[in-house]
Amino acid sequence: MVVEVAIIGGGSTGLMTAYYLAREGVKDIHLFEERYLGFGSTGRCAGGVRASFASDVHVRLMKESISRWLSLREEVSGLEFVQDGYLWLLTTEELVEAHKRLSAYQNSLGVPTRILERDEIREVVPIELNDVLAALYDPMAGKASPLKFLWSVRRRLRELGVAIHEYAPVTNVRISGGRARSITINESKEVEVSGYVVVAAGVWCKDILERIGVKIPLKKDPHHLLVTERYARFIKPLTIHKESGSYIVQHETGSLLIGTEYPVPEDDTTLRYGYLRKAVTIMSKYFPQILSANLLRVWVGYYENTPDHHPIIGTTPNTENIIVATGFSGHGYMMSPIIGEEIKNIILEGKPKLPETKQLRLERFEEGKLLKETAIFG
Amino acid sequence: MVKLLCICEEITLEEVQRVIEEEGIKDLETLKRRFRVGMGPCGGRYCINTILRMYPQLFGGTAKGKSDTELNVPPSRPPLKPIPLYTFKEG
Repeated sequence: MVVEVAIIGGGSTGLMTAYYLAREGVKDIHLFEERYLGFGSTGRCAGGVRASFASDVHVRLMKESISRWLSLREEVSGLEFVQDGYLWLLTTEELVEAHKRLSAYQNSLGVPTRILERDEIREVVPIELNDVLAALYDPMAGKASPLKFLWSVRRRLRELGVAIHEYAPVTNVRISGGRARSITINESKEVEVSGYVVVAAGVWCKDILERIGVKIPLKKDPHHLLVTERYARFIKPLTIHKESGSYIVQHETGSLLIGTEYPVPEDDTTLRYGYLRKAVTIMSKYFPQILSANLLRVWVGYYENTPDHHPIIGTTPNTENIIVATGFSGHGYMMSPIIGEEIKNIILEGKPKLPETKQLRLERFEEGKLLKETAIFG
Repeated sequence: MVKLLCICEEITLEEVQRVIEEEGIKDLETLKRRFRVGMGPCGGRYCINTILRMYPQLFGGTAKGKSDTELNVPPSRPPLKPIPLYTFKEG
């Protein structure tokens, strides 16, 4: 078998790469996933989408990504994206001051966030204000159900002729003369690659790249999430308690997802009771109605963090046709549409279209050109 | 007569069979994410067992003698049954 583009990883980044390539008429696109689509971080994430970040690179990429989310909603039947906003609850004077500056910064880049006073917050969410002093509101942000994304994009890719290989772990990439020549599936089947290999395997990129001698500064960062049974819809924006790094989001089905900062060791995916206590105690202080919702499941998914909390996009050093896309530090799903399109641009035009993407090359860590981001939570 | 494969999400056997055929679904984990079977209040107790009993009609082949891993049976996640969030509230 000879393939034009081999995509390693069946999460949002791999799927969107396949989608934008197929839409341009590229043939022989094959996607390889070790387990099933969404096994990694996509199927475990909360589905938030925002451009209200604290770095130029994130803000600009995410503005582009949101415009793609809006088109995807029309292009892919079954895909859901609703612009219900994000809301940050601010409980200290320092946080309020910092977010006033943040909002001014975001406004200067065209992201219409604004500070809400206490009585204005109640117009957006049914909240017990308690110690909330003010909030930052982002009406441009939204949410997209990851499960609907997975099956709707899968269905569209099949229509477009993309070959999706599940339970097909890529165990080796054979390189000669500065080019990837083939990949090995499950240590047995060799697949020749005439064009590009895209490594979009989330935290698992590290293992794949290390096998071909490429070091990548990626750290697994396990995060818990819980989901409740369907509950009458009452909260539209994804709402964050900034001080504790806790958040709540309700999807169209009515399920509530609640996450919180609960640091655990890198490889430890044990479920912690302490997480449940923290998440529920903090969120119920502001939304006591959630206490009667029934907990359905708890799980752990990975953020794949880089030292500067910005992604790594681009060809790997010393090989001309291996493209890596990882290190999204908790934002891979929301970024996947623009990243998929930029990988398409690298493959078809030889380079990404946006200047921000060019700053995301792996080499920046060795060159000491780290990027800055301060607004990470959950 | 309507045959429900999943009571929690009200998914009919007919719909599941149609989509498996149309969308080329070959495994339980993908079926779970497609229809939310196993993700409702029963936690898969009813629907996953029903699906395993109907495995030949749904996916072809047989489920007999195969392990959960071979069949890609979704893992059970806690809690064993739904419990209200107030159980976890401190203070």
